[in-house]
Amino acid sequence: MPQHDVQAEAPASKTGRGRDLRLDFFRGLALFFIFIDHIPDNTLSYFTLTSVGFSDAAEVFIFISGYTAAMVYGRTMLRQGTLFAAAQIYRRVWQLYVAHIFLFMIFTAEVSYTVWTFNNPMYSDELRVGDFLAQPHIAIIKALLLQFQPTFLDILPLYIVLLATFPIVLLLLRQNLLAALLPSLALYVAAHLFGLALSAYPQDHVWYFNPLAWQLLFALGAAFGFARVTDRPVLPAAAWPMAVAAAIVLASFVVKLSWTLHGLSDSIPALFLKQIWPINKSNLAPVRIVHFLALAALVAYLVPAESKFLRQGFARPIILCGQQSLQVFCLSILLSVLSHFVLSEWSDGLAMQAAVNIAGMALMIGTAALITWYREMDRGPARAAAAMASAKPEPPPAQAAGPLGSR
Amino acid sequence: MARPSPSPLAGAVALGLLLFAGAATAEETQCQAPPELLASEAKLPRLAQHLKERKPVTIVAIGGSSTAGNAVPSPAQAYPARLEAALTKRYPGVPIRVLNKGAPHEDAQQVLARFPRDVVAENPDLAIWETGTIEAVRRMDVESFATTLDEGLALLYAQHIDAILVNMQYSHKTAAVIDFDPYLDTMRRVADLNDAYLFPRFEIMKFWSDNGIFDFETVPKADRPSLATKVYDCLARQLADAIAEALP
Repeated sequence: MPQHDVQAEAPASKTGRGRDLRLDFFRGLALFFIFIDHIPDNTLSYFTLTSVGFSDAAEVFIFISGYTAAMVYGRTMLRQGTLFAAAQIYRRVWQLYVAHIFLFMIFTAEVSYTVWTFNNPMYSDELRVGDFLAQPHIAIIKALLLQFQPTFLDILPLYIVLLATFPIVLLLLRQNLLAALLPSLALYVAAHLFGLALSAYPQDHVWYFNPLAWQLLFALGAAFGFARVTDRPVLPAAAWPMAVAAAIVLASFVVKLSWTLHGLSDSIPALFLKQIWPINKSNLAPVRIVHFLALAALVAYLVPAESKFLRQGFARPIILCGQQSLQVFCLSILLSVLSHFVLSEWSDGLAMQAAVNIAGMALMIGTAALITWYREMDRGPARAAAAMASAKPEPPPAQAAGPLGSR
Repeated sequence: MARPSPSPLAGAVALGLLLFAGAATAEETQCQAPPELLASEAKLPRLAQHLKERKPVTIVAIGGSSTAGNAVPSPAQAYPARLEAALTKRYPGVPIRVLNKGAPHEDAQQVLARFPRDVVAENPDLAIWETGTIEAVRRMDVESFATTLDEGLALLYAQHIDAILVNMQYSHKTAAVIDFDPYLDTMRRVADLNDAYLFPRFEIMKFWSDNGIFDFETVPKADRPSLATKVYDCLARQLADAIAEALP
């Protein structure tokens, strides 16, 4: 969800390549999937990545975020020094934190309202353990410390922690890709072997997305992104990795689809369910990483950056959402909660489901378009003035204005 | 992952139920549920054997608040006692006991820790394990929930105790703030993998709620215990039907 979008490609990279719209497109697509998957009992979720693969939109999102973060802050580091890059990163961390607290407030308001109007004899006893309003004075503090993460409010804290530690990753990447990836892999393995996790509230809970495990995917994304900035090759150009990737994606497709269909009808067998399931998402089970990397490699191979469809009309709304990912992500979380509320309060028939999905995606696109329009208008006069005042042929790169950033 | 909404089906079934409602008493039809919901291929061999031989049957109901019956005036109105009544009526001449081992506010792991004392020590023919609510409310890790369920079922099967899992209660207000889906999926899958019977309490109550058979939300405070009494009784009778269905 990094911002960076604004300045991501502003100064044409020294490789001379333009902005890679694939990043925006697939991140936008992941945002739609996250919205759809977060609505419980949503029929449309049968058509998202999670139905046909071991990884889901969360992996796409974190990987692309690591990729773009390395591109944007990597360039800053190379041009303006590590200290300034770290300052930019921390400015971003602050924006994410504020966004998270804002979401928390809205979510808490919804829960408070529900509990306040709650009148169910059979459930009141069990809901009392919900920690929602039982100890507000503690819950607030734990929320500020990112330890209280109600439903849906767990991916931003992960992203905050990943970005807060990102300056170290950047420094290591500057030395050598392996210098960054080996410690990251070691941490991932240690998290799995020793059950390391971050503690959460209430007691004995841990973070739903374990940063000690998920950092590996972020670092992998960052390694590819940084390699692009420095124009270093990462993978050998050979055909066999693509064949392996295709085989993995295809096998996962068949297996996961059989599970999805088994959920609909017992007559369809769920292949290898006993051997593979359950797949741990909190700790990013290896099968999820393997599937995601295979999928990413395959898509990057099959969809070149110059693909025509990326410049066609239908892709535009998705790209817009991917470019304004922080705001659209926050909005999608609120919309998921709201949709859930609408479906359970009124009707969860297919017509209502369709209406809720369409309205939600329209709002996401509309918001992204509005923000893009505002940015362009805002930037227009400043650009013109700079061009007039400066005799230099190339204006300085636009300042790193994050999406929530004031200008 | 979502399960398809049962609504269109539910509507058709409700119509079907109305058509044959004339035969049954008003009280019994009130809490019918679609037969597809109760269908299962899981079997209860030990219970079947004892019922067949007319030996005394012991059933342990273990779980949380809704097993203990905290919403009703006395344990006699909780679902285990109602189940005992329903089964006794269905199998006259067989002494049937349903022991209530419900305790509020425990997660599956804590309940599992009670298994040796509260279940195995009673040497029951059948254990009915109502679980998942605390996990969903607190949004606990799905994988460890699955592991706990697996361990519990393995423990029961090792003692040759038949097992039924019971999922959460439904109300659209709670469903609006709590994401039950992953936990419902997990229970369905664990039951499937272990050939255990899953009693779909959530889906049945959702059917009642969607079709206006019970309104869980707008009842005045004074009427709450009587509503809970009715619902527990209905659930117990559905469970008795399901048990009869699962017997060979």
